[in-house]
Amino acid sequence: MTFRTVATTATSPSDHRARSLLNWRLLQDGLVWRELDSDLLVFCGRSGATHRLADAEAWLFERLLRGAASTEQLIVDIREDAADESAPMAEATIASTLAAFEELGLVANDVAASDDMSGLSHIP
Amino acid sequence: MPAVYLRTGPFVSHVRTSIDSLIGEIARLYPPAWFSPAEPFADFHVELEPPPGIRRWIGPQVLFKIDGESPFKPLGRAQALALFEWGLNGCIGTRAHQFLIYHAAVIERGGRAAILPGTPGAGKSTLTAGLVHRGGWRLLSDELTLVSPSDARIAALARPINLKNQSIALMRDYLPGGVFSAEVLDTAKGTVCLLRAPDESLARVAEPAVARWVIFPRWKADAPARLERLQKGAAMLELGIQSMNYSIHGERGFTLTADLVERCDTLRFEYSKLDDAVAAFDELAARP
Repeated sequence: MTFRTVATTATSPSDHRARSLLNWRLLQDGLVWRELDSDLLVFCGRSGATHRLADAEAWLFERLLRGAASTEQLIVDIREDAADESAPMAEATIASTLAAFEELGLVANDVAASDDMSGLSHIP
Repeated sequence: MPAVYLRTGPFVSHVRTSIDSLIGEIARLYPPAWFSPAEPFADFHVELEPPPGIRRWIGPQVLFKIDGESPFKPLGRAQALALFEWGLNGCIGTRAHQFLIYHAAVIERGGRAAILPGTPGAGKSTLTAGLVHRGGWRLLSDELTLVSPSDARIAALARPINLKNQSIALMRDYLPGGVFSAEVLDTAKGTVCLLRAPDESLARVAEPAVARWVIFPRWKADAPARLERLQKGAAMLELGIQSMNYSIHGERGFTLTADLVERCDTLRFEYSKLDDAVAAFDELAARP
């Protein structure tokens, strides 16, 4: 049993460049989530872990719910949604949050991403 | 070997022991009507017996067995009552998966329950004892909150409250009419004493309740009694950590916990004086 508030860590500029070419999607199997106040609580049935996502993590999760996206597209999107986000800041935020999600097994970066969300269940 | 069946809320325990005084000590803490000489079914078959060998005679000990297995190390014979209560908690926490179980006290007033999760030393049991004996709240449980997955109602146990160390003298002063067990010294938790639940809580043990608040209490020296709002996401994570079988329930555990947190007010409560705590909970209960 794991409970954690997702913490993101910085990644190096070379990592950023390599990962900007990747296409990201949520791993669809067994994810359930709930919005509580301003947080997203996510249960991952594959790991049995529950994660508390806030701020950029919650934004990214909700963005990927709408469909897979490249790193570059995610940076464009977060800059649109957060007007005060500078380009380098957006790039760093996306990179570190994706790295955290990848470590938690919430996302995959295979190039042939699918927009099929049929495996996701949101409890209204 | 003397044996008795003890019904505590939704559970029947078949208790066997050859320790002369133990059944009598248990009987002081529960109503006579909860005991019977025979039942068609028992959830837990437990034995409290001296371990085999020399320890039967030198430094006498007692062993807790459930279905013939010994999940705990033996304790000194004088700790048999505490071992019985802890063992029963262990039986429920590890076996009663028809409930989602949180390690938390739960009390009720006006049909609305407050779940009080607390890390050791947070003052959960002291607060619970004060609220149920002097604050007009009903005790459902001091240790285990049992949520039914089918309707989210919380089942009552109304078992004794487990007081520790400085809390024992404090509650003896605070509750001169309280029924306390003998003090059990030198346990892993220090000195322990069990306080019988109020009569009304015992009489209404068959009544479940629905959660209205999740409150994380903390005793702090000289702190004024203060309730403050806690983000629901943080409350859910903390409550989940206190669950004894969340992972067994999997997605259902997540959904039940999220439902519970969503419909409850989630609060932190800091206090130093029981009377102030009782007043703060009075005010809380008066809210719509």
